[in-house]
Amino acid sequence: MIETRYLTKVYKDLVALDKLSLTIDQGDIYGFIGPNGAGKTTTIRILATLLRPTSGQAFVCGYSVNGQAKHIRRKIGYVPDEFGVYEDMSVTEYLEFFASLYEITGKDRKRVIRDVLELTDLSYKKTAEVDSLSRGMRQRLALARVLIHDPDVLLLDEPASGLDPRARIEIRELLKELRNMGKTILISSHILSELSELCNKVGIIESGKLLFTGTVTEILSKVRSNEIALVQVREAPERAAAALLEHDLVIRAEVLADREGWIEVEVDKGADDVSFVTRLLIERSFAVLSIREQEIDLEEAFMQVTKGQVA
Amino acid sequence: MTGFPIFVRELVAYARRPRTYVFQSVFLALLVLVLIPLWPPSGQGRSGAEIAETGGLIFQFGGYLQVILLALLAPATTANAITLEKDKKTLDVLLLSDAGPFAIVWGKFLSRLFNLAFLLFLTVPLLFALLTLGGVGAKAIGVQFAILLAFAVFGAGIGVLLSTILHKTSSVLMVGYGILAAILGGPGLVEQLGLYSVPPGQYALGAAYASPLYDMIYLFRTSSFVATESFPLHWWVCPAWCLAGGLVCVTVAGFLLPYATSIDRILSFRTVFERFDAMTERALGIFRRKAPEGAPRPTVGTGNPIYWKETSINTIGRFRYWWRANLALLAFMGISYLAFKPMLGKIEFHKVTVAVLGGLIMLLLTVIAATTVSSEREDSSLILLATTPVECATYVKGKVAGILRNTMFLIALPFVHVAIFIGVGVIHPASFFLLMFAIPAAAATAVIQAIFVSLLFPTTLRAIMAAILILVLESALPLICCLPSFNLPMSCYFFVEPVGGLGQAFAATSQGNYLVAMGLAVVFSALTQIGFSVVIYSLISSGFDRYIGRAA
Ligand SMILES: Nc1ncnc2c1ncn2[C@@H]1O[C@H](COP(=O)(O)OP(=O)(O)OP(=O)(O)O)[C@@H](O)[C@H]1O
Ligand SMILES: [Mg+2]
Repeated sequence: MIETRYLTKVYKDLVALDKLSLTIDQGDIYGFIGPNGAGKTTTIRILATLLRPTSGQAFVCGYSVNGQAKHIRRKIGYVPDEFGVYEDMSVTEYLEFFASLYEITGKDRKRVIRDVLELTDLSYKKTAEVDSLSRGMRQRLALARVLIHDPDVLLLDEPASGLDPRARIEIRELLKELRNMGKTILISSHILSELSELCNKVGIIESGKLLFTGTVTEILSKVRSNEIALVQVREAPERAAAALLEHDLVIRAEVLADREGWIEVEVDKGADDVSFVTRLLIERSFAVLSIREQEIDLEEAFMQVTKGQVA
Repeated sequence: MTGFPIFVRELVAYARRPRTYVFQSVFLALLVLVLIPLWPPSGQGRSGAEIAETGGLIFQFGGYLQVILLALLAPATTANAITLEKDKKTLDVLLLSDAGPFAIVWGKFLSRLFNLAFLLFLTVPLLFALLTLGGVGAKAIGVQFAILLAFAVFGAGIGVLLSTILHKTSSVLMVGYGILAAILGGPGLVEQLGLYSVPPGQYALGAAYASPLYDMIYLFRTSSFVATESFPLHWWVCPAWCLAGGLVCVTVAGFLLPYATSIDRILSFRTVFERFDAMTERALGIFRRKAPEGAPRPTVGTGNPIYWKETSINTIGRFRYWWRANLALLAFMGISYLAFKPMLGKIEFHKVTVAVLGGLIMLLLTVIAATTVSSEREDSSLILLATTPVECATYVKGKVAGILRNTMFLIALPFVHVAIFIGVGVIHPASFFLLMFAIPAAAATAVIQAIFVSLLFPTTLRAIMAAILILVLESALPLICCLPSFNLPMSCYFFVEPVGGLGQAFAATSQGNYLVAMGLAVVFSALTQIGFSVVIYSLISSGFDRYIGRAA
């Protein structure tokens, strides 16, 4: 659905994008992560046919951004990182205005607008003036706007920035719904927890270079060195820890001072999983109350990747 | 002085911009271009007295020209001083800094005034060259300079004040130009309309005290007045109040700055229009068809969405009772006839009225059209349009049609006026036809060229300034070649002719010839304007994507 080949953008003497190549398939939710000034917005604007690449190619729905921009515009919905809202327009008028720009008329338009308002939970605001909406509502309205013409591809530049946690969760739910509708979504964000739950693929970009692209599991396994498990025993955690340390695959076992009966166990990469820890403890007749694997989250992965720790 | 950092920052910013120098060069070039043709050739059969007279003339016209250029430039240099900060939401940050409101307004005012004054000083060598011709005294030069400088202070001060209390840069400019035009031209208009007359041999002191332009006229044409008192002694009255007025404006702006955002909400054109709307609605209640509360805005429908937005969302388009408001305008015109009753039989009155209307039409259309794209750019909604498949033709046609529809009544006004007085038997019927060719073509050209300019320039202020500059340059076209309607006020003035004597102004020409000549000229002019518009449209469409910020 989206493909870039050696995409390069140079602003005067600043290389904002450096031979960026990525592929996003139909139905993917692609999370685009990178620090400030990494080139996320630049990439998205090129895909949205607002910027011309200095060199390289980019294709959206099979159309090239060089020369076939017209076709692309009907296929994409773009939410810029910052955008104005018209003064003096009601929510319905705003959507009608954009619908008519996509030449959606008559009954279709009424139906579509009703649908997108419902989808974005804005129906109750449909007569409100656009500039009276709160920030979260505006973001939702922006999403409603790009859904009007039922685009195949959504390009969302930090759609959740500046939102409170609640609104953020709402946006996330909305995006999940869109994912279920089979849309291809490219979404940039700083807030990683948001992406890890939503996306099936991520790309990490820094200084215009794509450092990593792949599925979420891939990146996690790539940055992960040893697995960490947390075990809770009913009594004598010190002895349990000592017992665990005798095992070849256990590198470290520490009793957590602040949590009753909990032990943090670092297990070598070679182990298939951490189940042997339970087995071992039960064999030594410790009462195991619970065990769980500690997730390495995207945040950690991001920090490691952007520090250049992944080859 | 804590405002000093702001002053320095702004000054440095100005000095860095290449545009500053372009501006100064254009200003000088304009002056020189206009004055050079007047410059007397030396030697050959011209007496010293003749040369001195020409020198005096150049000096006078240079002075008038500078007053008018200053009237255009002074409010513009300060118009966005505060509005821009409000737009970018940086005003609060500025106010929270150590500087304080007075330092902010003074810093901005002085830095911009500095640039204006610099422009004036650029003309000094030119003035001293004039001294060599004779006919101008050093004192006169000094006095003129003082008048100009004080007027610059006033214009810039008004700009700062309006920028503080109004929301949009375009509103600031419109109101500012309105005020300055009233000050400069008011006394003359009042006299032209015959509301008072100055007996020969006397000065209209009021006019000279109020208007820098008149101050200069009286100062330099003392010979055409029989001096009953020595007027030049009082030349300082006008610059004195200009200076004081400008400084007061800035000080008041400083007082109001902390409340700027709430004031501009109260004073916005929108609110004023809405009040006016409600008022006319009440006044014209008989025409009411349904309850005012429920009157919905027209929906987008199947037509051009840009047209819809222009006519039902934007400030002027917001008039829900648009035609009623216009009816009120017509009623106002009718009432004003009563006030001018003694004048209605005189052709000069009609000439001036139609010319003023013509000027208003051109200025208003230019400002509205020049704002239309750049305001979308400034509130960054243009980018949203750019990602839709909207085409150049839809966009431009929607804009042009919308603007013309919004101002339709204003454009019709001179026709209504002329038609009435043709009926009464004061104005020659041919005038109507001449205007029919002149006004619509001129109006359409003004709109499309201003749209073009506003596509090219990133800010409203620059777009408006550039569009007005084009208008000013075009208004010189009738002098160079026979394209009368490029200067609409002037052509209106000449086209409105009395029943008895078409072409009195050209007494030497016979009547029939005059009509044919004028008719041909105005048709030729209209065709040129249409051709010009077509060229501009093709320029717009060839670069449309780039102008609105699209890649391909
Ligand atoms: N119009 C421009 N002219 C010059 N440089 C630009 C322009 N737009 C962006 N840049 C530069 O290009 C680089 C990439 O910017 P971009 O906006 O793509 O970053 P980003 O990843 O979106 O950052 P953020 O997370 O802050 O939104 C930055 O260094 C920026 O300064
Ligand atoms: Mg960005």
